[in-house]
Amino acid sequence: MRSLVWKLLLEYLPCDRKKWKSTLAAKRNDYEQFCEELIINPSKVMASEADSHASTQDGSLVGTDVTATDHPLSVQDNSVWKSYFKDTDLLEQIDRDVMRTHPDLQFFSGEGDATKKHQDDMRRALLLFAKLNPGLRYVQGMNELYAPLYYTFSLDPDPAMAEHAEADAFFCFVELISDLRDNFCQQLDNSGVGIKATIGKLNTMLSENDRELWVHLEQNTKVNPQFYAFRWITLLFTQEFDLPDLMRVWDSLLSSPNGRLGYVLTMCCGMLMTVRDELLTDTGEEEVPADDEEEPEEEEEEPEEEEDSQQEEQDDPPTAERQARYEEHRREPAEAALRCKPLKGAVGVLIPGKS
Amino acid sequence: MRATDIPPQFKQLLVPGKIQHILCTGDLCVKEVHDYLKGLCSDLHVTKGEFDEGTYPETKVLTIGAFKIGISHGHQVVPWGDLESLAMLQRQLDVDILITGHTHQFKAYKYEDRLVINPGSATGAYSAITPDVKPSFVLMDIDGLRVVSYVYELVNGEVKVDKIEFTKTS
Repeated sequence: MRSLVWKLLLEYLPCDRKKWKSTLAAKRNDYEQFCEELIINPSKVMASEADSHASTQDGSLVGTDVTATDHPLSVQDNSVWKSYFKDTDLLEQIDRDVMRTHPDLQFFSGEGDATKKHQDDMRRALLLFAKLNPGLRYVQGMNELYAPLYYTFSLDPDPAMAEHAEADAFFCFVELISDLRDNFCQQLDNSGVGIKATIGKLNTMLSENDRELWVHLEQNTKVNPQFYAFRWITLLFTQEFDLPDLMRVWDSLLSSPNGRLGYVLTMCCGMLMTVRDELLTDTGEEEVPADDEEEPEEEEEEPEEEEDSQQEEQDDPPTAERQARYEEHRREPAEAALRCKPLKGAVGVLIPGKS
Repeated sequence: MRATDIPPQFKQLLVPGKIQHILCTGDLCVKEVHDYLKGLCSDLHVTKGEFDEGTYPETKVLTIGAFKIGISHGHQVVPWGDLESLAMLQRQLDVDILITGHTHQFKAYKYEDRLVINPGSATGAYSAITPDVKPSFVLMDIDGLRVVSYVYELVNGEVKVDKIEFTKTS
């Protein structure tokens, strides 16, 4: 269910149900082609079918001269090997991050063929993205954004869908990141659209909604919002919540009628305000607010002021109930999101009523 | 008698990050050469040559991908560079690819569906076998059951590259 809804929300699937099949087939085909064209294996390119033959004199093998064409240490620009090694550098970086994605989950890290396949899939998808987007390439943290999508799609109850999780997640990831790309781009950091500007917006929002807290953070503790908000915003809270919780957060995030970035900022603001009492008692000795403490109480808090204030509010279940809530989120995931979709722009139903 | 260094034309090509394993048959002679190779790639395997001091082993066997590879300097195998004698060592070590040196002359043989390679001398140092020593080294690209060896030779100051292909049966 969630897998399907996310695909719809990310406009990977068209609204017209009849077109789903053809769209999926076309996209998955595209993906395969990208893989073929962009992922270079020089061993395959270079190897000819036959083995080298022995010379007649002393039986030693005769080589074919490849000085002018291509060889692994070639410095020519058109060398397959040269571009391969360039990719290898990139792949190494991706690999490092893939290996430490959700180290607590068997799905992502551990022994076994399934895990290895998941890692390979992620690696390939991220490499493709980097190659298709030379302006952005790979930025650390993209793995964290790809992972929830891939995880959700892989666990689709329909095996025909789950099978193509890699390709589906890839296109959804592209869509998701297109909203956020300015935050990822280092060159834009100091410009009007980069991450600093976004954090600035968050700061303004906080000052409007909770003056006291804002003043406290700005003047007493002098915490630079970058210390905490940077991660929240660029990684869409993936580091702040456990995966099941995160998926619930993303349901709202993806379906947010006010634009995804707007939701992210509102959420950040809400997270700060949720722990305002703790923050206010803090004298500034401890610099950075501890993220962990904020986790249990997330989501329901934030949107009051910002969204059109029409959500169904819900009391925050105490920590003891969290486990139950996990389960629930897993099972009836994106209903809220579904409800939200047709109302786009009009009403923001952000919270699923548990009544 | 010995050469002082690897030719600059080779050094230009050999940059860190491209090579995953270095197999060296020996006669590094000085620690500096060892350090240089180690700088190219940290996975360095060396056997003991005639002029080496230190603790290198006489032979070494390692597995890379589907291939079992044996290294030995080769001065222990007489007649030097003789294919049948080398094949005996290959059977002893039970390896798919045997790499030896000592003759300072590039050679590659396919013997009973196994590969015997002598990469020659990267520096082109004196050889007791041939008056005409060309500096050379071999780079192997192992992909599944297939290995493509690229032979880098310095001929008249120019690097020449040859390709030799070999597929392991079964």
